[in-house]
Parts: sequence; C-alpha cells; structure tokens
Amino acid sequence: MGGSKRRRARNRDAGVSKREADLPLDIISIMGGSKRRCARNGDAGVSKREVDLPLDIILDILSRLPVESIMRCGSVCKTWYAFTQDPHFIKLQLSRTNNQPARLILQPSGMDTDYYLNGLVLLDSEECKARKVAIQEMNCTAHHIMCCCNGLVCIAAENMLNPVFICNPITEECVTLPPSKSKIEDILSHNVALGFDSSSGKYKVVRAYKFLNKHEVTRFEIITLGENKWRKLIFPRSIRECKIWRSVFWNGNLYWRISRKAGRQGRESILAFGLSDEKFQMISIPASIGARHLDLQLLVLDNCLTLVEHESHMMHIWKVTGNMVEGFSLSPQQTYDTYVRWGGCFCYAVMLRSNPNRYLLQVSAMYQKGKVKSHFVHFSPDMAQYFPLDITGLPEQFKTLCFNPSLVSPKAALLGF
Amino acid sequence: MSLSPSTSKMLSLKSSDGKVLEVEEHVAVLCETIKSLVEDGCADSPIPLANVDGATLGNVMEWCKKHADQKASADDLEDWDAEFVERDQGELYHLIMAANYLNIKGLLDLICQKVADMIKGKHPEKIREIFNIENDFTPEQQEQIRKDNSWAFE
Repeated sequence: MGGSKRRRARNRDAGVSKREADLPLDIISIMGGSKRRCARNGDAGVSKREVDLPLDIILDILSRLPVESIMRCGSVCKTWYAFTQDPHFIKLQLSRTNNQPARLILQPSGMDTDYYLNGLVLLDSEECKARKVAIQEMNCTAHHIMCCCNGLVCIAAENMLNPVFICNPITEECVTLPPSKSKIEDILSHNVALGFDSSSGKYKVVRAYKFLNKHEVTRFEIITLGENKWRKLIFPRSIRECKIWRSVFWNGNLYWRISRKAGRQGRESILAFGLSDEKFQMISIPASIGARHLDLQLLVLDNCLTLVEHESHMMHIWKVTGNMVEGFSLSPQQTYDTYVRWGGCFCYAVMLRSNPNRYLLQVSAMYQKGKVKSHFVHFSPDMAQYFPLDITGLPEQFKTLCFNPSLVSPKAALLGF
Repeated sequence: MSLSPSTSKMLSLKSSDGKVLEVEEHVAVLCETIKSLVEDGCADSPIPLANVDGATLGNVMEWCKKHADQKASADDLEDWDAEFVERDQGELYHLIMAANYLNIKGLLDLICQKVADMIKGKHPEKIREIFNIENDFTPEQQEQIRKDNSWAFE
C-alpha cells in the first residue's frame, strides 16, 4: 500500500538526518544553501550528474510547481522550507499563477453546515480532488466567502459589519481586520471586496453595505491593510438604490455588477473602483442585455473580465476591455447553445475555462421543496456535450469562488507588507 | 547593425574543453551575454566561454538556431522545444547552467519548466535524490511539517 511505503521512507529519512546532524554548518553555505549529500550506494542518478544548481535556479523551478507540490517541497530540507515562507519566493510564485490551474473554494450551505461548521472545501477540478480546509475563526452558518485576490479569500457576514477575515485556504492562515467603529445594527446587505494596489504594494478591502435609517442607506468604506481605520468613500449617487452583487478583482480594480430596480432603462451596469486612486467609474452594459431580465454573471475568465449572460438555452459571453483612464467597453465574445433549457429549479454558473473548448460549470437543481443539490460538469460547446465530474467529499449545497492558489501570507498582508 | 540572416557573419565560440564552434552571428546573439560582447565590439575571435562544455554548447546553439529561424511558426517551435527537452537530467542541468551563464531567457524558462514538470507530484525523498540534497530536519521537525501540511502528502 502507498501508506506503508511512505512510512518506510519517513523512517529512513529520520535515520539519515540523525547521522548527518553533526555536519559543520558552513557546508550549507558552500553548497548554496542546502546540504548536498554524497552519492549513495546504488543511486546511479546522483553519481552520474556533477552539477548542482544555484539557489536562484532552484527557486525558479519550484515557483513553477502547483502549490501542493511546493508545500510538499517544504519538507525536503530546512532551506527549502524557508523558501516556502520567503516573500521573494511568494512573489515569484504569484507572478506565475496565471499559468497554473485555478482552484475552487466552496462554502457549504444548507443542510451541510453542521459538518463543515468552520470549514471550507478546496477543490482541484482537474484532479477531481476535494479536501476540507479548516478556518478556525469562521462560522459557516454566519460567514460567507465574498471575494478573492492573489490567492487570499475575504470572508464576512452578510448582516454584520464585523468581523471581516482574510484567509489563505492553502496555508489555512487567517487574520481578522480591524473592526468598524460604526454602531449601525440593521445591516440589510454587506459585500466585501479585496484587491491589491500595485502602486502602493498594499492590499485594500472595500465594502458596500446597506442599512435602515428610516430609509435604506448605502455606504462604501475602505481600509488599507496595514492601517487600522476604515474610511468612508464617496460613490456615484446613481447607484444608491441599486442592488450590489459580489465583486471581482481584476487588473488593479474592483468591479461590482449593479442592478437597478426592474422596469428602469439600462437596468444593469458595472461599477469599477480603482484601487490606486480610490475613484469609482460606471461601465454601462448595453440596454439589450439588461432588458432581457436574465441572469448575469460577472467573473474573470481566462484572465479577462467577463460578463456571462444566461438566456434560456443560450450562453452569451461578453468581454469587458479598457481601463480607468480611457474608459471601458463591452464586446461580444461567444454565443453557445447549451442544449438545456435552464430556469426555474435548474440553473448553472460558469466557474472557469479549463481549455479553449471546455468550461467548468456549477449546476444546481432543486430536487425537493427547498432542497438544492449542486455538482460540477465540464461543458464542451463544440461537441455539445456535458461531462459530469466525479468528486468525492463535496457538500450537497455550496457557494463557489474561483481563485488562483498562492502562498501569500494574510498576516504579512495585514501588516502592510 | 544589421543582423539579418543574409548578411550575418560567423562568430567562433570556444567551449571550456577547447572545442571551437562556428555560429552565425544572428544565431549567437540570442545569448544576451554574446550580444553585449558583439555590441561593445569585444567579440574577439574565438569568444572563450569558460563555463560551457562543447557538447552543451552544441545543444544550446542548436536551440538558438531553431529560434532564430524567422520561418518557424509558434506551434512548430513548441513541438520542437518539447522534443528538445527530452534529455536525461544531467544534460538538462548542464543546459540550465549554460542558459543561465549565456543569459538566454527563453531557453532557461523552457528547461526550468521541464525540471518542474519532472518533480511535480514527487515524494520529498525522490526530490532529494533529484537535487542531491541532504535531509537536515530532525525526526520531530519532519513529523511536525508533515502534520501541518498532511493534505499535501495525500
């Protein structure tokens, strides 16, 4: 069995490290950080090779591995363990995350929350592997995953301003942001967004919330990680009565989909927020899209800000291009026939595009009064086929965020590094 | 200075083991190290490359020649590269050291990615073998790390 094999290897490791424990420390520096071992008996691979790679090359190689492999490499030796926590290495890995497969973070909901009380589920959709991630500070029934940026996930309650957590599901490290001093209690909605401002090198958290004070009041606040105070933001008056959806971080800005009350012209729009200049900008969505009263989804797909429109059996994909200076525009990308008439108790959301002809969808179906079951399928538009993913360990019902796994430390981010 | 193929002159490169290789200038300048020598007018003939042996230099120049060929399409290069990196570990390491020394980013990226693919999913003990590294953890530390990241070993 694999297990016993591993155990044997472990015992052998222990023996080696004991024997070599007395080696003088300067060997480490001579050998570029890690102690190189002598060729062992029968180890043809080692004796054949005479070069040892310099440290920066080893870092380059490790930074190209999936995060799980990097974590495993941490147990190779002390020097490599130190790499996995080194800010320079973490940045290097982060710069390559666009070439690494994205992961999904699932928040169990409905009946499963007892079992998953302070846990999320991390899913590798390529390998069909799911595992529980324990976030001690979190309570699944009250707190929700809200936004991702650089492998960090923002967690908060929908009806309370405090607490707001930032966690890294890979390292399971979690921090709590400084609380808001606000005494407001009747929170109607609370949407927290996390982004990275490359001009200052700091993470910023922006939240939008609505509360009752005779009338419904909307407020935006921001906090720069490393500082201890939330600041109020001035936002466009036109969105005061709009529904604000979950935000996405893309290209140095935060984006929210905004819906006006039904019947109004230009029902849907996108609100953009520049993290460096802390200014808002509205992006209009062609009235034809909003007028169809359909389900819309704003997400980052293939490193592009994308709007997906679900219209019965058709799926329309729009790309948002532009920037805060020159403005933004929407252009149609693709239209697919999904061959399924969605709606009612049967819906889907696009998660990611795993290759040019394959989308990962989360499909949810209500199969009994109020009981919803979700699962994942690959959808290949060109073959007009669906391939359900066989994943063990998934909760019945969940919310999902797609994120690029990294080793970024929430603690370091909170200190403003 | 024109570096187009038709007018390209030849450069001589001398490896650490004394082998001399004649290479077209527009191919050799894919190595940033050689390019700056040429631009500074310091490209004495033959250019001594003290850190690269003859066999590795031959391989490096084969890669440069392919990548200097303007007719090669991106798909074509990708297929060719995939075949180029099918080598044993020793050869790959020599290529990395040479690409690093000659400052050829494209080649360095290619080989580093290949080595990364080789160690992806491997057990730490196997990785120690590949990189020739001693395990310097105490058994207690080792156990602690495994406990902390137990999922990564599944």
